[in-house]
Formats: sequence, C-alpha cells, structure tokens
Amino acid sequence: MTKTATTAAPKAKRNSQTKEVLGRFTKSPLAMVGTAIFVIFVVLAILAPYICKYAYDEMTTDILAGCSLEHFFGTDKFGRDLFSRILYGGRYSIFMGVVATLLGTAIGMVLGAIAGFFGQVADNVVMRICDIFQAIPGILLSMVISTVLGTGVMNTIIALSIGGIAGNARMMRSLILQVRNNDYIEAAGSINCSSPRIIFRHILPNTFGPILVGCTMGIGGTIMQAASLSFLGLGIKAPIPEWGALLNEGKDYFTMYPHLLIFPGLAIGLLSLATCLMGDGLRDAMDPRLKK
Amino acid sequence: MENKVERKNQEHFLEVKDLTVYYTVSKVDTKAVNGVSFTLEKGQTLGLVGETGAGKTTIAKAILGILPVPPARLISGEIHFDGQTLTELPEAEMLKIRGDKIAMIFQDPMTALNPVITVGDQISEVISLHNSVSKAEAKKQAGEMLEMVGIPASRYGEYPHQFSGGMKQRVVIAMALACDPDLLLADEPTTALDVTIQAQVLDMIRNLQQKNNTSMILITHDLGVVAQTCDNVAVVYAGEIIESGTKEDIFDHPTHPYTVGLFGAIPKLDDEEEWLHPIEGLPPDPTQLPEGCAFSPRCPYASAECRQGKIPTRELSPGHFCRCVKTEKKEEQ
Amino acid sequence: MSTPCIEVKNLQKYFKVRNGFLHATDDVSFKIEKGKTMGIVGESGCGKSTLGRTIIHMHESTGGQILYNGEDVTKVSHHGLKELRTHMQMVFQDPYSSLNPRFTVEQTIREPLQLTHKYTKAQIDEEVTQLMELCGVEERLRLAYPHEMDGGRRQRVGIARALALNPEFIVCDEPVSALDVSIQAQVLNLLKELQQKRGLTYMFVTHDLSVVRHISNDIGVMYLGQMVETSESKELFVKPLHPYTKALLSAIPSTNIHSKQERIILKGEITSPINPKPGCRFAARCPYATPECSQPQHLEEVLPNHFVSCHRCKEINNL
Repeated sequence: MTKTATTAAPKAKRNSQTKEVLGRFTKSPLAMVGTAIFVIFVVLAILAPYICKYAYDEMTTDILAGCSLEHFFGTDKFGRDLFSRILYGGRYSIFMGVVATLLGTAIGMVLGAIAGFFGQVADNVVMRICDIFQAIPGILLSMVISTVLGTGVMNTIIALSIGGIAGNARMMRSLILQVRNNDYIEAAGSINCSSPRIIFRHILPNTFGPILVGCTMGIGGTIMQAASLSFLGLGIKAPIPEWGALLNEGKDYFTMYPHLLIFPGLAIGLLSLATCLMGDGLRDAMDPRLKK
Repeated sequence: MENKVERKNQEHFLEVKDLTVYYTVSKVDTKAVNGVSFTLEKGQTLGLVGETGAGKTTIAKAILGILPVPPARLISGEIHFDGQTLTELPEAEMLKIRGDKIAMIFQDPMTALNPVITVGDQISEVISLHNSVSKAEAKKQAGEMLEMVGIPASRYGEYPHQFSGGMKQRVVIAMALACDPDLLLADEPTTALDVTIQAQVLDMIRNLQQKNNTSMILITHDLGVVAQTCDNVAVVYAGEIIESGTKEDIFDHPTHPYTVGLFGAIPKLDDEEEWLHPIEGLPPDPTQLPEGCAFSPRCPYASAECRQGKIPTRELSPGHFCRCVKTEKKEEQ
Repeated sequence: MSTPCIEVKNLQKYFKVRNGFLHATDDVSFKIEKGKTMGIVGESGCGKSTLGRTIIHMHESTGGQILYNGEDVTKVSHHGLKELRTHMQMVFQDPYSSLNPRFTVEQTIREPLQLTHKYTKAQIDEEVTQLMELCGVEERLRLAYPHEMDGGRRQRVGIARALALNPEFIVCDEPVSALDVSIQAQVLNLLKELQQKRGLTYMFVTHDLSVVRHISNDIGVMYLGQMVETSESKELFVKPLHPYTKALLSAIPSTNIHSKQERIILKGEITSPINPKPGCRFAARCPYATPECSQPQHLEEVLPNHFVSCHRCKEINNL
C-alpha cells in the first residue's frame, strides 16, 4: 500500500517517508545483522538440495554420530544427516512462520478495519469475538485447532494464524481510530472524496507502518509456536524434518547426544532473534525519536 | 534602572556566562544554544522572547540542570546562582537546589501532574521533600498554597482530571511555589490557556512574586505577555541573544532588525495597517547555522560584513545590548 | 442590500454525550456579506469551531437554518452536498495533521481537481502550478512531502487545496495559531491577498483577538455555544457592550507598555455546556448578574448593526 502512494509521484527524486525509513533501517547495524541472518536462513533453505550431500530422509550407516566434516551437525538415530535435515526443515519452519503470520495479519487487518471504520455494532461484535479468542492462551488455541484439523502444513498454518488474528485486529482498530482523528481525513471529506477512497488512499497507507513492524516481529513468535506444535506431535509429523519435530526426536537422546537438541534449538533461536532485530530496527527507523 | 552601574560591581543573583548547548544525534550537532550570557537580579523578571526552536527552553533546562545528557552536551558556559556555580555542582547538590531554590513551571499543565495522585498530595509531597516538616504540617501548607493560587482548600482531595486547564496550571504554579523558591523558571506558563484565564494566572504569578521577592525568567513568544510582566527582555534567535535590555529599551527602541521585524509582524489592536510586515524566510536550520549573523539570510539590511566572523555585542545605551554590526551606522542615519 | 453570502438563523448543533446533550452551538444567528470576513472569537470549547464545521456541513445541524446566497442549504441531498462542497471549503488549524503524510504537495492539491472528473491531466497539472504560485509554494516543493516542510509552507499547501475547487466561502479554523509570529504574518497577508484576488468570503475562527481585529470586517463573540455580541470590527474594540466582551478585550496583553491596562479579572468557573440551563451562560462569572439573567436571552440590535445578547446591556453601558 505504501508503494502505490509513493510510486504515483512521477519520477520522484524527493525522499518519501518510505525511502527515509529504508535509509535509516539500513544504517542500523543490529537491524542489518537480523536481516542478514534471516536472508541466509531463507537462502540456505531454498538451496538445500544443492548444498546438502544427503537427502533429509537418507539413512546412512553412521548412527548418532557427532559433528564431523562428513556430517557437520552429526546424525540421528537412523543415521540421517542432521545438517541436511535442518536445512530442509527450514523450508517448512520459515514457510509456515511467514505464511501464518501474514495470514493472521491480513485477516486481523480486515476485521480491525471493519471495527474501526464502521464502529458501533460492527465494532462491538468484532471486538467481543476478539476478546473470546484472546482469553485463550495462543498456544492452547493452536493446539486445540490443530487437534481438530489434524496434522499437515496447511492445517498447522491455519491453526497458527487464527491465534494471531485477534491481536492484529485490535492493533488495526486502534491505528484506524488514531488516523481518523487527523484533520486530513476531514479535509478529504470536504473535497468530495468517496468513503472507499478515504479508506484506501488516506487511512490504510498511514496504518501500514506499525502493522509491518508487528508482522515482522510476529514471524519469530510464530516459528516458535510452529515448532512447539510439532514438538508436541501436533504440527508436522515425521519424517518431515520440521525443527520442532527434530527437537522431539532428539529429546530422548539428549543426555548422550546433545547435538540433536542443540542444533535445531539454535536454528529456532537464531531465526526468532533475527526477526526481532529486524522488527526493532524497523520501528526505530519509522520513529527516530523513540530511540533513546 | 538608575542603580545599574552600582549593581555591576556586586555579584549578580543569577549570571549565565557564554552558555553553549548542542544536541548530538547520530554525530550531527544541533546547535541549540550558542554563547548566551545574561544576568538577573533578585526580585526581577527577565523575559526570554523568541520563536519555536530558538533555544529558550534549553536555556531554562540548563539552569535547572535537567538537560537530557545525552543527546544534550554542555559545550561551554558557567551558571552562577546566589554565590554557587551550578555548572560545577554534583548532582546530589543540584537535587537540593532544584525545587527548593529554583523551580520550573512547564508549558503543558495537562502532563505536568500525576493523574492518579490528588492535587493536594502532589503539592504536600513537594513540601515534605524539601523541608523537614511533619506530614500534617505539609498537608496544611499545601492547603494554604492552593488557597493562595485561588483554589479552595476543600478541593485538596480531588484528582487532576476534575480540574479545568486553568486550574491545573494554577496547581502546577502552586507546586512550583510551594517551597518558596528564589528563582522561578516559567516556560510558556500561559500559552495553553485562554486569554481571560491567562490574565488571571499572570496576575497571580505577579502578586506572588512581589510578595516573596522571587526572581523569574519568563519564556514566551507572546510580546504582549512580556510587556505586561517583565522588567528586562532578552530576544533569542537561533540560540543567541540578539538584543537585550530593559522593557523600555526593547519596546520603545527596538534596534536589531529581527526585533523590529517581530514587532512589525504582530497585528496591533490600535493600528489601522492593512498589511502586516512579515519577516521573510525561515529561521535557520540549527544543524547548519549560517556564518556570521544567524539572522543575515532574512535581514533586509544584511551585507558582506554580516556574513563573516563572530558578530560582537554592542552596548547602545547603558544596559541595552544589541548584536548587530549595523547598529551604529543605523543610529547615525 | 444584496443577498449575504452566508446567513445563519438560529443554528443549533448538539452532540449526544453520556449524560445528555452537549450544546456546542445554540441559537446562533448572523450574516456574512459577499467578499467580507466575519471573525468568530471565543475561548476554547465555546463552540466556534463546531459552528464553522456545521455551516459547511461537516456536521449535520440539529436545528435552525443555513442560507447560502439566499438559498436554504440546511438539508441537502447527497448530490447537493457534493455540489455545495465545491463552493464551501475549510482551512484547518493544525498544518501538521491536515495534510496526509504520504501525499506530496502535488498530490494533495491535485486530489480535489481529480475528483471532479472535469479536467484532463494536463489541465490539472497546469492548475496545480497556478495554485502553488498563487499560494506562494515554491515550484521546487512540488514533489516534497509534508514532513519536509515547515508549518507555514504546509499551511500554504492546505490553503491551495481549499482553493482548488474555486470556492466562494472559506471557513478558516484558527489557521495561524499553530504558527510562529513571523510566519503567522506571512499567512495572514496571503489570506487577505487571496480574498482580494478571488473575492472570497471568509469566516475566520480564532481565539486571538489581535488577529481577528486585523483581518475581519465584522466580529462575533461566542461564549459557551451562544453568540453574545456581533458588531462591526472596529466598533467592537472601541465600544464593547457585553460584559464578557469587555472582560475578554481587557484581558489581551497589550504590547503597549506605557498605557496601564485596567483588567477585568473574571471570578468563578465556566458553566458546563452539557444540558445547560436556559438563560445567559456567562451569568456565573458576570459581575453584573441578576436573577433575571436566567431568562432566555436573545441578540438585540442595541446600536446600528451592533447586536448584544444581554438584558442589562443598555443599563450597564448607559445607553
């Protein structure tokens, strides 16, 4: 949405807010570290077949081996290469994390926008439903939904995204109420802007920033939740090497072969940290006054 | 001002010397205050006049020692107050002075009060912090303070949201005056208020000031308020005092082109002029101040000599200072 | 006399609040002649902004009539409202919130023109150029965003947007109170210049009495939703008749340091505008109040073209 507003200016050489934000974002070292980690993970996951010597389900004779040049992260109880499994697993973890967050944000935005624009009855209905969802702890909610729907990538994504809807709807609603208070919305009405135009041209683009920050920071949380579900055996089942599932497999051998827990754990932790750093950097870039 | 010469020999009640403050954010210096010097005597009121971003509030914060460091940096300057050098005092000593000897009234009364504590308790807290008095005694004094600013003591137990804007500002003033400070820093104390309430509050500040012989620095952009309240005036532009003197000096004989411009820009009540005379252009960017006189880009009289070197301050008549190279020449004309 | 541009008759605007109705504008009547400026002064919360917004139909009025060029426009259809808005515009107080931060100067000024669907792109570009020039916005700022400009420039852009539809009547809601003195003068001069060039009619809402004195032909003084006095501008300052106007004028801090001001300091607190009792709302703070003040008061022509709403007016002023 920001794009449409800025690219509409003919060959703008001037600094739009988006450009300035990006400029500040790229100048923040922590945000760049976060972005770098995230990008590396994504690239590794995509290129997994070209990088890995073994397929993720290929069993070798090296059972429960430690780290070596042959198996960077060692092998599991079936002799499967852990490095390959983590890279392939990243495909599921990152994909589910990103898609579920986007889905949750998108649905939340629509619901929040309805509540914020139309107010009164719509506001009450949407917000009370959100109350109900928010009363249940997120992970519990995902567990229930995932139990009902069953395992699998799509079902897990649905289970995860529903947990994020309520929070996003709430945020969107308050953002819209905030933006609506500005005089430029009134001014738009006075020059005969239609309601849809006011909503899409004047209100939505100005709520985009905080939503983007929330979304970025949310990805890490969702990846962790996805892993938790799989760890509990609800999300994605073996032999698919989702990171939570890897943890689950490794937990029985933890005392003897800690690498089975350490590497998947590290992957989850690093990726969550990366998205948090990115989100933090974005927020600071959008409001430089907040920083110190 | 007949005893001006005599005063010069003795120590001033408040003296600010060559105060320079920068705000540094990501290696860019915002030059908020650039070599400001002034003095203030006991019982007198100095008006600091200037536009948004001229550095008025920073001067007040520097005196009170509440500059946010970082990003603020005290580049140079000394502040002498009542025989002490504030710029050299450790924080522990400053704590005793703040509120006790120097108090500040902030612009926005809505945010200066804690919403969950009753107004009476907020005042008595200030009193018991600075004086060793019993709780009951502090409470009694707080009630008296409320009465003094024209709020019945019976409203002691009410919360800020139950008060109107003008009353909140009076509560803030009562808090500032609770410890009978020697110096009051009032930062736009009436800007957020309506005219009739402003008249009430200014009247009250003046009365209390006379009663307690308090000195005051009044920061404002409203020349009318200055005319009604101050003894001396300093005009601040881009972090420098460009003209200072008694109220009569400034209002009857404004000399610096900026001061003259300010008077031309305000619509007057008793004047039939069809067009106002705005000062063209904008205040300079404090991160890139122009060389020489900061006002030169907007000044109709500016010439090459205005755009280089440090502009000296000249004394036009005793006590009337002006920082402009053209002053003498203009006088001759 | 020709038809006034705007005539307001007994206009009421109430807002529903939790415990009743907030009488933001109550029984207000006045006229603004074509090409003139009517100043509305009053303190915060007196309903002056609401009055302006109600006249240009940003709020729906609760009662009374609004006549535009002699035609009743109080209850207009959706289509009529669209048409009406091209004749009536508004300049806002806060130049920081009245411009969309994601729109360039050009986009902001162009939008009202685009929405009429009457012009080609080239015509719109040409019109934007002219409006920018007219309002003193430099061409190099055409693609600038609001955050890159100072308050004065933003206000100029806001004025250009209001002028884009070539309106006849503009409500200026405190257009200069957020600006510094030197910039304020620039914008005031601009507004006056535009009035002369385009024959605009202004309603100028402000709390700053010296500004209103400078720019207005007529002034209306409001107190808590009621119009207490309307008069020709100079006369109001020379001969204020309503006790509130007297207090208000005496409270302006004058820059003349030699004339000693006699201040009328008001006592008492402001009455609540929620479900107010009938009668004069200023009575609680008025030094001349009597029990009769609780009777409903109406604007009366005490002197030629000088209306006051106070039953003791003649008595107080020895008329």
